[in-house]
Amino acid sequence: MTPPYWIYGISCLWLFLLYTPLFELVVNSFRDPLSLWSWHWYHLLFQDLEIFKCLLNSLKIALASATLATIVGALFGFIWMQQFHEKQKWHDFKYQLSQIILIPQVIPDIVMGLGFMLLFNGIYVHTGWRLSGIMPTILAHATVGLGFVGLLLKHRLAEFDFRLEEAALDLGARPHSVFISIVLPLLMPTLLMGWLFVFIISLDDVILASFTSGPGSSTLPQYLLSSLRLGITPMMNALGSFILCIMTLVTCMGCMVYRAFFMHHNKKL
Amino acid sequence: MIRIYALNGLLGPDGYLIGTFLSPVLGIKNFFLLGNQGTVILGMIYAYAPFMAYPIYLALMKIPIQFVEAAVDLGARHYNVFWHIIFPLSLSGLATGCSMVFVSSFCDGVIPEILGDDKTLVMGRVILHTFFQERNWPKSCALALLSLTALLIPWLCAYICRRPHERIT
Repeated sequence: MTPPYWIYGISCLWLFLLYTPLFELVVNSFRDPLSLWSWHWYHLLFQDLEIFKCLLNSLKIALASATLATIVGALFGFIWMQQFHEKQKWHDFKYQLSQIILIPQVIPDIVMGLGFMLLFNGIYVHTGWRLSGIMPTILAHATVGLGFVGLLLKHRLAEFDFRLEEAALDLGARPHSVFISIVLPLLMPTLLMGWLFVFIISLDDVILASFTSGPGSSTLPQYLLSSLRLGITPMMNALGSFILCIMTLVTCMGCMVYRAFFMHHNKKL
Repeated sequence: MIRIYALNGLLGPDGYLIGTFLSPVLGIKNFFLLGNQGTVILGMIYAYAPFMAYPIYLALMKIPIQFVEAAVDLGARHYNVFWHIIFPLSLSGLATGCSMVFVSSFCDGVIPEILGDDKTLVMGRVILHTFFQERNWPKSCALALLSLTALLIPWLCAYICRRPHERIT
């Protein structure tokens, strides 16, 4: 059964619409009024210390929040496995409590950011303890990213072969060693995908960062937005292409790791 | 963010669409694409299409291929197979995607700010403005809560669209 031809037409149009602006961004970043092609804007970009600082902040936040979200997500995976064995129903309070990590992804960023801002402010007012630097942003990104990791894990666990776990339990393994040596390796591809997802979300996010970041810890998208407000310079094209390059590299590396280590586990994915 | 910035460059007055195509070739002057509601909607479609694609993909993966084969065996045409089998079965994914995109675009303050002008005020922009410029924190919290209540509408729709056995998951 072959789809009709106009569907191919619409798909090609959509792909064109999706990638033309990015292509234009990259081409524009190499343009110069004097000579047609040059690295001029990239030279300016790498001489700017503030951009470098923002880039460093962004990368630190993305790495830390992705790792934090993945670790907590794996722990939630453990809880969900237990619940499957206990056959908990949806009206069970413990079940509902464990589903709570799925909530942040349906709450808009702006509400989450507002909440985090007020929370950190309230902690400061009542205890005098202030989370400084990039820490609040890491926590906010990890919380929002946890929802996505949880969603991926949930879909993976829905098609998980629980007989493997039962076999290990029958052979006398303790629940935590079953989780570490059987379940965790099987969930690893999903966790890696979740890590990549949170990394890219965190690198791209501007609203949460603008609510939670203090002075001196602003991220690269924030810098991009604030410079957009002041007026567009062609250096921003170079910056955009550079971020694009980082994201593509990270995604490709993730996919390569995925193919190299996990392809033989499940051919289905 | 970067994609919206790229779209801004493409549609802006010096971008490729107007700067090198429309005004020199077709001779159109004083024509602006940025700063109206249509461009903001286009930008949101552009930014949130992946959120729509992923749930639909997951829903399509769940449909057994035997259903389609059986329909083709019984003599159904392409559009019949699509309308009577694939579309109803992927309705739950469609509902999830719709609600995700609705939630994301309802409260987005950045895309209307980059692609729109002063007249394209949306909830997210108002909240950001109240918080950062007016510094009226209680008012911005009230606005945020108000927008959260508005988000119940697509969730109720998605809940109704799901088949009964899928509802509590």
